[in-house]
Amino acid sequence: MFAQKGVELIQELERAKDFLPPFNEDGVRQVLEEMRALFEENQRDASSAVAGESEYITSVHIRHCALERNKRCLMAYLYNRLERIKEHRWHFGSVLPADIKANICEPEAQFFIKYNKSLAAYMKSIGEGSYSLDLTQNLKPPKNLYIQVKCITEFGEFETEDGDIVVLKKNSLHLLPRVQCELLIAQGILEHVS
Amino acid sequence: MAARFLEDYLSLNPWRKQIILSNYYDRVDHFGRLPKRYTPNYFSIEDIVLQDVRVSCKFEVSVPKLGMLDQSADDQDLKQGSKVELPFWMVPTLHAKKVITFEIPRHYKVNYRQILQADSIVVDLHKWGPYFYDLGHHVANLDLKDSIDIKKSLFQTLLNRLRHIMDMSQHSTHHETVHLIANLDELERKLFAVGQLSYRSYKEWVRRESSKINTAALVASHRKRKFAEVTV
Repeated sequence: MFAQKGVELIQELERAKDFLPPFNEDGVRQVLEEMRALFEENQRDASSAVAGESEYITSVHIRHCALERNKRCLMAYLYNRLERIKEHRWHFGSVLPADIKANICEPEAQFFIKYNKSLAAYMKSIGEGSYSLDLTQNLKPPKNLYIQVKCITEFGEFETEDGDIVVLKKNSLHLLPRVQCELLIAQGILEHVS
Repeated sequence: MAARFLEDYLSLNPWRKQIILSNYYDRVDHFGRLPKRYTPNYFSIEDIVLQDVRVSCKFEVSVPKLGMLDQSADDQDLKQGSKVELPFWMVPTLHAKKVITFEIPRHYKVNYRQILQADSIVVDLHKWGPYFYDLGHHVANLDLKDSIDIKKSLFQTLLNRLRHIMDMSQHSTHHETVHLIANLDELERKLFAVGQLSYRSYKEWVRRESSKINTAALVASHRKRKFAEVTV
């Protein structure tokens, strides 16, 4: 049946709902192969239809349907992967962990870099002068300036903007300014204790 | 509001849906994207997967060289009048060009519609097709004799079951969930999940935990997966 491989690609994405599976280059190549074969057959039938035999027109329609279906599967595969990469920027920050990077193909890595650049340029353009607004911070309305945090992963030394060096050992409690630790909490290194 | 939305949604042609949905749901979500609309859009993973369902059709014309579509016959060509199980994505085009006569899948036929009319809440919609509403919507858009009846029936069913779903989602604990949603199809399960999320958010707000910063969702699941890999 037509477009089996295309649907398999999509099912791969459906199974992995909250992470990015490795880019299935083989799958994509197979789908493109199938599309090429269908298109060539269609060309042959269409040219014979032009020549006079008009009985092949329905086959042309059906193969065209299959071509459109394959195209839709491929486009949806690529689009949904890009959407997930965009989400990764907001959850992980601008640097991705190595094992996620291994699942991204080269053009997607380029997309990620460009997306970072666009986001940074937009954030810089918001204030006047040299003030830039970090949109990835303060995702929930802040209630106080300083928060109590507990370190859940060993991190080592962390330097705050005022110059204080804080040693983040496992299970140590600290009282730190909210803006400094928001990124670390999002990455799972610290835990907000209320 | 949900009922009005559904009525508009089911009565319009597919290409008009975008206009309606933008009136109801203009909010940009947390990441600056338009929310994943509940509409069969071109890129929707669910829509692609659900259209792979096989439906039985009868060919009105003979189709040369595509005998492979019919698994039972060994012909090179597809004979006129042969009954084939086609995947649903082929059906709209072929139906419009009058190449096939399409038989409505049995769950959307008159007797099943009458069952739904009698009592919608008890019906196991997951067994009737995990994508009952979506597929029904696609089928009804094919301009069949029964189209309007199918649309009305889908609309009425969801309306009847909606209260039950809302009730369950606001009052269920984490553990009972699996056997509560066993009867629901995918659309209803999404509604259920949204209801549960809103209830949990409300409880969090009451406990004054809504300003607590959490680990980002993807980061947490990434860690869990890495931990699982390392231990295995």
